[in-house]
Amino acid sequence: MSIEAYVIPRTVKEARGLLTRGKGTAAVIAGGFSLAPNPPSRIKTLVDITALGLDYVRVSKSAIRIGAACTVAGLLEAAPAGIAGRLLVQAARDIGGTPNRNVITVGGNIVQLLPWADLPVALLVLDAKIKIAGARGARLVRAEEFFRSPPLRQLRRGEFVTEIVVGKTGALKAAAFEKIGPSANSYCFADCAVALLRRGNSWEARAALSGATALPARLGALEKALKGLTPARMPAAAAAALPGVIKSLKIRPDIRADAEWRRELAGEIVKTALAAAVGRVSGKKKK
Amino acid sequence: MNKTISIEINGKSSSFSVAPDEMLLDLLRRSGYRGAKVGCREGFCGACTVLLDGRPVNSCLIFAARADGRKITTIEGLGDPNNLHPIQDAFLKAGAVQCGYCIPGAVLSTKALLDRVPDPDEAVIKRALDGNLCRCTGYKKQIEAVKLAARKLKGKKK
Repeated sequence: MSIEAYVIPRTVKEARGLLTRGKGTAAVIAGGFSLAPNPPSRIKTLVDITALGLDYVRVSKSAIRIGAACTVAGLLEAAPAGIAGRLLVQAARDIGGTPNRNVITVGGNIVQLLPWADLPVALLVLDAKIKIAGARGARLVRAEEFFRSPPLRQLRRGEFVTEIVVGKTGALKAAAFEKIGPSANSYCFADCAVALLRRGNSWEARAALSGATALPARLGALEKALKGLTPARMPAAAAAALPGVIKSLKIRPDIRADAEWRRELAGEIVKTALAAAVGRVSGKKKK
Repeated sequence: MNKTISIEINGKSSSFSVAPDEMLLDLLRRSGYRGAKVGCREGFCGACTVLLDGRPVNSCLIFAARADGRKITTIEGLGDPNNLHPIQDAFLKAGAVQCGYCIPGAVLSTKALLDRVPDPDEAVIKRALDGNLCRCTGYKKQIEAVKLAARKLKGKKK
């Protein structure tokens, strides 16, 4: 290992300073799940952000705010209520095993984007915003933008994620999360989140897929095909649209499964998540 | 540069000089707490599980410097061969131990569970042990052991 210093700053400003002065050789660490086993050789200083008071889940009338250093276990214990809160809990529930959920942080899960990073799809369909602290103050980035390229590459020197903001909207009527993997400790093959929203008499579906793809992303073409349909009509329309939607995706193969199998699986998992969300909105399932 | 940190291990506070890249697992083992086993070193097998402020963690993934000012419980803090902790005794009585390599981790995960949930159902037990892999006896006997331990600890409290 090349680590020369492990620093635990007490303020965001101090952390920012350490990262800026590190000129690319300093890295943020919180849970450490990604960095600890094999830190990149260029990293000389680890900046531990767990003493910055970022380990919170705050729920207000308008938003759920999650500190970047909140562990997955912390999010599960906070169990924020409501459709958005339940979706977050559902996505967080099967991240790794218990000892790992006690250290993996929400910020790390979305920044490092390991293949089992289940929170991004939920944040995408909830249209969450990621708060990033940097030399010029804080900036908010929509989840869709944040995940467009690997987040670590998007962060400028001295920047790090401090908070995830999930705005509450009365338009959100149901949501569901689905994941398929060989075991709790394995990288998943695919995961998917779906949210159904109603504005006036018009319905819209949001769907996001990850695991099977290199980066988590909204399925814009599917959402377009479902726009304006009632939830009851969405599953049939999705079944018709999905082959084309999934075919256009760049599916990631790995040692366990080839791309074609994963492609088929991705289509099925989206159908399953959509059916679960539709079931919830029509009152078949209360969750 | 080495740093001096203070950790309470099994109720006893001690100071340690640690390198910035030293992992908690290695610090514990060089300090005599060899019940934390070296396994995958990637956070998958759970052989290195210890309790950090009462929660099970993989000590192979925790930098030692991060444990400064925290409380650690290792398997040595539960019991010894002449005076087994009820959870250790339950694992023996249920026949949940074969090679024993994973057992310290499983016992500590069980302790963390029973400290919070004294009477867990099977689903809760399975979830609590989901980070501790066993390649000998499997999990059926371990689940029985946790149930037995829960009964033992409940009886002790009465």
